[in-house]
Amino acid sequence: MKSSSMPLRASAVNFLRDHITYVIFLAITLYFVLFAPHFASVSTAGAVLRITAIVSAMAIGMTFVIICGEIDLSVGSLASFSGMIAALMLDQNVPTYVAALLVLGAGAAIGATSGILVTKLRIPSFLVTLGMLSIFSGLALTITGTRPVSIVDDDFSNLFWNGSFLGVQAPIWWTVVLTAGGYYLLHQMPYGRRVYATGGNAVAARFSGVRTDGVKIFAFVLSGMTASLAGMMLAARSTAGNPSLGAGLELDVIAAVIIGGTSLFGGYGSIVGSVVGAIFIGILGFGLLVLGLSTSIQEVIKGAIIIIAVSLNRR
Amino acid sequence: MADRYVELKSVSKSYGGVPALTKVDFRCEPGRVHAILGENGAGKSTLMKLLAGVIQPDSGTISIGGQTVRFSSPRDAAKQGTVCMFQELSLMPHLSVGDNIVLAAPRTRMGLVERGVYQEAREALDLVGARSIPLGARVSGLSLSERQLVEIAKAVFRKPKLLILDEATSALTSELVETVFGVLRMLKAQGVAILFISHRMHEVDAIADRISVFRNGRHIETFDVGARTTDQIVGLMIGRSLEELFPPRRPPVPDTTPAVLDVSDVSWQSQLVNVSLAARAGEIVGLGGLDAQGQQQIMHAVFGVLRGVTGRIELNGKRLNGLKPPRLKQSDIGLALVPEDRKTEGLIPSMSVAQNMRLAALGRAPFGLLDLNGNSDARLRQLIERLALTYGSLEDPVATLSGGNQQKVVLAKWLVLSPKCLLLMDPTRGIDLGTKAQIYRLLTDLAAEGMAVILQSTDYEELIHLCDRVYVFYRGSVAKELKGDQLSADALIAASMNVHLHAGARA
Repeated sequence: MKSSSMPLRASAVNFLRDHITYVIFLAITLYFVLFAPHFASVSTAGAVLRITAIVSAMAIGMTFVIICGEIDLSVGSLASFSGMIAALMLDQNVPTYVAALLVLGAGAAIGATSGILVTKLRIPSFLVTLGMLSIFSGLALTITGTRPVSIVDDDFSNLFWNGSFLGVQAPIWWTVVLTAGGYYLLHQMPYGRRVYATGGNAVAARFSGVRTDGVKIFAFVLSGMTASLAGMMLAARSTAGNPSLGAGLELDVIAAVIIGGTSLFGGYGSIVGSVVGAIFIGILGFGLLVLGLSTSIQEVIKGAIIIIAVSLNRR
Repeated sequence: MADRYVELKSVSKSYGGVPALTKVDFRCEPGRVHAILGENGAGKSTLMKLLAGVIQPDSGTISIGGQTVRFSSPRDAAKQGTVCMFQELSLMPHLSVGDNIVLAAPRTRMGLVERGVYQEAREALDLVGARSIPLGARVSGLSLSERQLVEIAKAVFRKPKLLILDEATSALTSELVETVFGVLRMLKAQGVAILFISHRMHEVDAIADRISVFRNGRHIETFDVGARTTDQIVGLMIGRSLEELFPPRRPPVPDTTPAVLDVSDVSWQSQLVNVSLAARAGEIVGLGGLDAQGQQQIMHAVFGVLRGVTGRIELNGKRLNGLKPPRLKQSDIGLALVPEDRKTEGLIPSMSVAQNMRLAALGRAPFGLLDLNGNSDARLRQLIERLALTYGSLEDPVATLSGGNQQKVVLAKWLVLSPKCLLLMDPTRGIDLGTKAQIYRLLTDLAAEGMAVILQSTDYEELIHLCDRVYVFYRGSVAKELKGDQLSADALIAASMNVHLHAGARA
């Protein structure tokens, strides 16, 4: 409807300007396709999508939090913690689905706690979730005295990582399902509109009868749940709950959301953008690996490209 | 002519393409008090800032004492003897009164502040009638009117040749206004040129020698005080007669009609004291008074955004105390509030026109896809037509609209809910006249349809010509209720200052 009134060329230019990160993303992918050995293959694509599923899942929850104008630094350690308690429950012969639901519930409760501290006690989310990061990375290490707990439950592994359905592997299904769900919630439902309103101008939103505190708390709940889900995917991938699996993931997640065009100051952003951002980071890592660069140099290049992409995408 | 102290020739200034002043010719002479009148956005502040060296003109010349000047900073202007007192007080709260005054023009001997200047500061304070304020007192401990006096003393201390007062008397009681006017008359006798900006016509009458009217960035006319009637001056300020701006009066709502909104004995902290007021269906009720006398707080109290409000608030017999906006906007209650500042409280700038308009009505269909909300969209389209909203596309960011159209979006957001009682806080501030007239028309129509409208306004004309009744607030309570023939500018001003008519600051 918007573009039909505009000449095609002008709208194409506008589209490119609005989605400059997609252009960079395509250029870099093209570079890898041309210069990295065996990069252009279905198996590579599948591998990249599986690798990025974990960051994608967390980025979808994080998108809600960041559009609200807040931040959640605790997702990485929450993922480690979730993987640990999932592994411990399975070890105690808790039925697979019950364990999975309990872990999701724990993630929701932890997210709600962060949200309540941020909104009701008016502590900046940076500090609250920094504290949560420390608490849950500590707890994940403490429960077993830093020992990993192996997972022998095949149902669990199949559900979150190894299984496939209609020829598509489980992590890719999770990405698709979460993207669709997040898209519906953020772009099609009143709740999403309230998220944008809260991040765009909380005072005006409150004057319009939006419960901004509730909107933020629920955003943290979503972030907590996606972090728990990602934690179970991590545990299923390595067939063990390992207390340091998720360490540092929050940085990749936040980078993915910001690369995807979401404003760190709130009010702007999209679910698809965040998933594209996550896949971008995945392709970058995988491509550099295939090119044979050492992991230390990879980190440097990854950081530089993220800064360039975000600086070009500023609003 | 050497006696023209300040002269502007064909001066223009625009901000980012929006003209603030257009080809203004203006002069003021020493030993006269020259009043500048105009609505918000008429260009008064821009004129003052040009003279004070805060901004520079795009074209045209400014001359002082016959010499063309070009100030590059307020410091330059101050060197030429221009002293400006802006609306916002510019004192440093953590410094002493003496330091604040001396800071304006520090004289030093061997790098140290000269002792004698404090003596002069004391004299300046005494002169403006602030004998009771010690030099050593901290500004943060002073009352608003005491601070205003310090501000004036600071100006006197600098021995100005051109003194500009921008709403400088707004925080003063009528006795203090008289004291300040005494100082102004003395400065005038010493040959100081004084530019006086005020919204209060009676103050202008009392002190000014000449009046210049500005409108839409143009200098309309200059005349001696007494050459025009108040109505003529208002006509010059708004550019059309009041009859054209305001819809014809509606017949009064009979006193027997039950109240829709009933507020009784509402108090909040120290800012609201036992406020009682009522609005009937079909009435437009005004809330007036000087700035921040509680009329804004009572609106917030009714709309449930303040905590710890005591007293009783009822709408159609339903008690509203403790309820919050998400509940108040439901159709069984039907309360809506158009907040004071549309930029910070009314709109979400990052969202589109359509999304802003749908914001208050969100959630009437909790699981529905937003774009299929057929019913409310049909109603929105009707409202857009009724409000004569001018827009490019409904998907454009709301920030691209003009101020008047932004206000229409805020109105539409609430009207789509068909409220029973509409609270409006200064809805026409900074809006062009055409849109103002449309909004007045709309409010009149809404009242005629049976809505209870409560209008808090800083615009006296609005209160007089649009409202059936006006509650005038003073220090957190209703000082007076005016209706019918009692509604006049003089009565409003007298009630705002909590003085009886004829006992005010008339000289």
